Amino acid sequence: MTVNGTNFVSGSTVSFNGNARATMFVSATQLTAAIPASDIATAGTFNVTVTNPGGGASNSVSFTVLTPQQATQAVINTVNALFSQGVLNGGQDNSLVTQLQHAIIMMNVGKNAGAIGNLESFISEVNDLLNSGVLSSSQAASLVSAAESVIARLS
Amino acid sequence: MKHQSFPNRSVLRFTAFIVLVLAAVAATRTQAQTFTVLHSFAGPPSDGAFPFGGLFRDAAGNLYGTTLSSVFKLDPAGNETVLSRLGIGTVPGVFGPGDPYAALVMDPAGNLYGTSRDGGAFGLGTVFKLDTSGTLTVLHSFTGTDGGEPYAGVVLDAAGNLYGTGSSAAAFGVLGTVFKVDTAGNFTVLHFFTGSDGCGPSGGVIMDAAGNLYGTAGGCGAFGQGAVFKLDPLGNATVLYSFKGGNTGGSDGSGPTGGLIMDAAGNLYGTTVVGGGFDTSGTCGSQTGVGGCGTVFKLDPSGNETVLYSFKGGSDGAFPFPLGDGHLVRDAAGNLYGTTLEGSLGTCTGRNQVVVGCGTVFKLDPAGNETILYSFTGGGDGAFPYAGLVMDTTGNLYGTASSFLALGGFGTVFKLRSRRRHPRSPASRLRAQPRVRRPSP
Repeated sequence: MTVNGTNFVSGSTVSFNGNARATMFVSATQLTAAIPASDIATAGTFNVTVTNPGGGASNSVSFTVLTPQQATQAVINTVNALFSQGVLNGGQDNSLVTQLQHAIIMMNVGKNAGAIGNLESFISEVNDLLNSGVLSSSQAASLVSAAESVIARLS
Repeated sequence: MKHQSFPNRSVLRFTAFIVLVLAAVAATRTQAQTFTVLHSFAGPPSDGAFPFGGLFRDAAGNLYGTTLSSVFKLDPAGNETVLSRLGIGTVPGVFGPGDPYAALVMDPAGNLYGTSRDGGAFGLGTVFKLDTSGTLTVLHSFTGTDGGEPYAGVVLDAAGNLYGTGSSAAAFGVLGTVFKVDTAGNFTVLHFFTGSDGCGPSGGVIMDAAGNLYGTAGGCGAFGQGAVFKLDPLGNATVLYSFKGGNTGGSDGSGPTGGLIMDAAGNLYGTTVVGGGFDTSGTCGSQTGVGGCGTVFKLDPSGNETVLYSFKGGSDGAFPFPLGDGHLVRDAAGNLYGTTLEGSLGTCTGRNQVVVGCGTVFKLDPAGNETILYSFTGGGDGAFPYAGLVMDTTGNLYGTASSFLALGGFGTVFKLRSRRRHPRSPASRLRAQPRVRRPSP
């Protein structure tokens, strides 16, 4: 996790949901912290704070972990935004959103294997759109990364 | 000797062909319905977009419903009024908090009640009231510990209390709830699902005359495939049936996401979004690991489940009521009516659906014969009906069809006009007889 702020010093510690995590000092305005998978295994809103050596804790910043369904809906929103921007045409948008919508339906009834199948189909279609030049590398990488994160949660 | 003339074989074949064609035409006509788009949503900012919920029809024939960004009224002349705007985003299709996914109910005073799947004080959805002056009041904001993110709407008892289901709230370790909001606005959780009795209830509840609530839980249950439950007025929950479905050999269905209806004998009718076991490979189109394309089932008062129909994912449809809001409609003759999210007669092709087709409106007769009353094309008629239907006293059906941005629309409200024939009087039958001129000698 990258934490941006001010007055960071060597020895500053990031706490996630009240638990101190291994922190690396990057600069006076940036820290990185190692957040174990167990910290984000459950959806919810968690507090992130920074404590300097000998000092008090900073103000708290909220960190939201989405449910797999919410995370998938966020990917749908991203795909629809690409359509609205003219990056994707109608058929491409529809095809991608269909796979994601089905993934949500499958998650709702506990069929994670089915949902993973939909997400893998989605990733495959995104790669096809990358190879055909419809999506840029960064656009495709963002979508694939988001889908893979959901798959990891379901696996 | 008089010579009798007989038609030759080719004439007989031709006659038989004509009879068959006429019979086929007659059969088609008896099932044909007239489909009318009553309203096409224009999308924000002027109109709503993407109706995921069904409709409420009042005695005057007005239709009320929700889209992902509005509560609307459609009068019998087809004039739409946006009664309230909810969470309209700046990018079409990317909506903000307060999105309702469900149909509304109306009390005798004309107030509307519904749910939103997100929004509220904690972002986990609300139960809301929209009064006749257009003022929207949040009756309850889900906190997570009381469930959240309701897919279905609420039912109203005679005293004005509201009942519904809150879906799971994983962050709070909640697997789903049945809730009540009384007339003073007090919210009570009547039941917390534990997993063995189901989880993730999305179909809402119905209430019998004794005050028992019945509903479905789309997941968990004894076999992990969902359950049908009953909740008595004292809050005692009973699992009436646990689905075995999936691709594990059961063919009874899996994932009862939709709601229930009950007949006078106490039989319950519902749907499962997947399962049904028509295909032993466990697929439905390109959807793997689901054990079928869904079912229509009946559960008798003794808890015996019968699959009335298993969808095959072809022209007969697939995935009924996938998100929760929606239940079957049953007419006096025992015919059942509903929608499927996908599948149809080959229209909507080329869009890489999981199953070919943009969805259907179907009829299931008491003998289990399914008829497709309408296949959505994804054009001006909309596509992908998520919710159920309402039927008026003459048998006309009303519903909503969603869309995707890519299809170039924001969804529709539609009507399927019944072709129910009214019996003619003998006099009118006589008048209808064609005149036959007798040959003169």
